[in-house]
Amino acid sequence: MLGPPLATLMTDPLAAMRPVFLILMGLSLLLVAWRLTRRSRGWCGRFLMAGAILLATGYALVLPLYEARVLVPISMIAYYPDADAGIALGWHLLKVVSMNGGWLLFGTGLAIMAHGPSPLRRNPQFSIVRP
Amino acid sequence: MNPVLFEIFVNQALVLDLFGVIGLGLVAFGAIRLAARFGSINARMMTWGALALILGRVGILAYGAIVTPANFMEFDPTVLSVGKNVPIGLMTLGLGMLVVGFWSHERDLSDAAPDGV
Repeated sequence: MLGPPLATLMTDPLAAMRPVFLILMGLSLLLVAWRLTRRSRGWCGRFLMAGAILLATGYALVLPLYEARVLVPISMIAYYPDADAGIALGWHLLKVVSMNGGWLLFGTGLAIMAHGPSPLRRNPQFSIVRP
Repeated sequence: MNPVLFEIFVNQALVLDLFGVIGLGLVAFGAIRLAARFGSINARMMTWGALALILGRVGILAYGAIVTPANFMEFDPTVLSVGKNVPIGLMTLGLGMLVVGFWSHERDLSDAAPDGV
């Protein structure tokens, strides 16, 4: 007997690879946002980083747990009598806030970055070898 | 289960979904602006990814609004499968394009101002 993820890997590899893709993309988004804003000051970097953290939570933690059938969706709670409705509502709340709020904060930061005069305020590095 | 939280986050969830769609629109707006400023192909890829994400998100919201457990049996299964899987594929590919474009854009900016030798 195979569990749901492994059985899905046998029957539908594309759908089974999708959570892995989501995890990779969420962590990549977090890494790139950190690299982009680590030397910056102001609200642009804060918005971008807060949105990236929320999106990484949603894409790398919440959505794969839902895809792996670990968490019960709130719309299917009537078919699972043993599941706790409060816990399902809490995970649904985390999903809604992390995805929607993450895109809102990330988009705000990206729009500010695209409009601002100079998003990157890296310290100037002077080198004798390669100026 | 808290009835107030249930009312806000499940019954009236359209407002929060609207926040997400507005955020995706801001991402597309910022990517278009970046493409216009820097003339890079990476920001253009970010724009296409954001547009695919918006289309997929609106498609999933429309699917959830149209297809309910009450009228689930009235639709053709092929129509249901296409209407559910095409927005999911659009969102997956759009996220990939957005992340790749964002990464390339960051790498270009870092190459323009390297922080170490």
